[in-house]
Amino acid sequence: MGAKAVIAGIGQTAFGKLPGRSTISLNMEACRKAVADAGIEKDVIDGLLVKVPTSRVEMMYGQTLAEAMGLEPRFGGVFDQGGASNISMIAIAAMAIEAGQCEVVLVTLADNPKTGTRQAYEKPWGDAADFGWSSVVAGYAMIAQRYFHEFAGAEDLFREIAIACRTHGAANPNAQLRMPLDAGTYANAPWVVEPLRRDDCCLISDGAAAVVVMSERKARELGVEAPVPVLGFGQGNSSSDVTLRSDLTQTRADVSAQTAFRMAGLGPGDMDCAQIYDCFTVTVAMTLESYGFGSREALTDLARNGGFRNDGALPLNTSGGLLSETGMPGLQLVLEGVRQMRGQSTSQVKDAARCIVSNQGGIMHTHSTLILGQ
Amino acid sequence: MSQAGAAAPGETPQETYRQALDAHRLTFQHCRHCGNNWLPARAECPRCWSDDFDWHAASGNATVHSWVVFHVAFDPRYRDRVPYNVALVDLDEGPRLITNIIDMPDDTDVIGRRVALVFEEDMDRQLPRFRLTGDATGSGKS
Repeated sequence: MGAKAVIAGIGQTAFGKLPGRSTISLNMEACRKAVADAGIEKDVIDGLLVKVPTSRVEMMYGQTLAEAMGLEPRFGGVFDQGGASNISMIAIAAMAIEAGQCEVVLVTLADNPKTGTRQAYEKPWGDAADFGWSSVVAGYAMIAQRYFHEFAGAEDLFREIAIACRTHGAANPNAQLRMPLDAGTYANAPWVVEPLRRDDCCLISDGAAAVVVMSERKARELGVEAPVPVLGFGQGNSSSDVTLRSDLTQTRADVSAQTAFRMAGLGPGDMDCAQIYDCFTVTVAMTLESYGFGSREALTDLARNGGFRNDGALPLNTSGGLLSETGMPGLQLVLEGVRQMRGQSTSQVKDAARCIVSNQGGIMHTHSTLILGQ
Repeated sequence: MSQAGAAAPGETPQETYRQALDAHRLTFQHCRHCGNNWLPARAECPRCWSDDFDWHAASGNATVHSWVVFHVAFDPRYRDRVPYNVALVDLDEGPRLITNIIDMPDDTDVIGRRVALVFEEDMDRQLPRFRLTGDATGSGKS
């Protein structure tokens, strides 16, 4: 792209239980901090993209937020792909800036399922609800069971993913769950929906995160201190529900990553760390395979040898991910990618210069990929 | 829309599907344009977008594609039934559906196992459930 986009600032709220806070208030706190982090004034913002809160969907949410912020954005609104929305909105912001539609875009996400309603995550699935078919976790369990059937090392891989995320979360003072996980605790934890155990499942969290997107040129003009270049992005959507998806253990995460790698002129071997959407452990296993980081067997060997730790070959979810930092759907992973590129992570990867971030939504219906650099 | 006769067509494909179940017949949609067979019920073929389809009766023979066991009941109607299974089965004719397996053995991987249709009255309707048959285990690649 001619005028390469950068992430100029990041902001977040506390993660966990935040009673009495509306999603508008949470979004505003994250945006206030992101704008302060970028070192810019509110009046340069001419774009506002927001993910609609999962736990309470409402019409015209983008305009409700803009009104609360006293903004009349040239470009803005809601984009809905579930958890994949965040990276997709950063991509849309970059493309809108490139096309001259706007110059400085806030991309933000807030949700409060912990103090508000969890109905979105526990809902019955239409006509099939009469068979007891309900909840997001059950959809992922259906996929995970198939993965277990296909690959004998699945339990080892899932366990090591959970342990790596929890290890990094324990080192992050802002993480909601700072308790490291050991193999015995993982194996003895209760089933939620078998074959997924408690520690295979992400947290339920209130909170918000926001980023400021602008062109490299604009960042120089505004004197932004630590802009992090967006090197590539992509998306791919499996779209069909599990009843119509021909292969349950493959998604269009491959298309998403290939698009992002092609745009960046890079490949999996060029990545110094990975922030992979870990709503459930199976999601990470499938995403890493789709991204070309190795076969299931190779990933399991890597995991057993500490490859997912921040001093390993493929540092994974270095702020704790959805399993440990916050269950908020996705933008926190972009924030951690930015911190890694700035050298500010609590589990900093030595000399990290490139980071890949994944977001996905639904029961693996949607996927988006972001590659950050220095 | 024709075939499978008996049940009066409902206002929507979902209603037609449900009415056939109430009459103890498991049906699926067949595209008259491209030959695709599918479920869950909908108004257009998800492969070629045609709205010209028939209802066909399923043989009731199927293969388990995947299954899970709920240890937590998110649906209050299932609260006193945990642990209970939900399965995804591939009908021999192609379409896949959500169901339950009756008399599920413990600690056995049933992916690829052959199952047969059994109707059970539950949840104030006729539910198409499946029971493992003695037939040889499938490849699991269905």
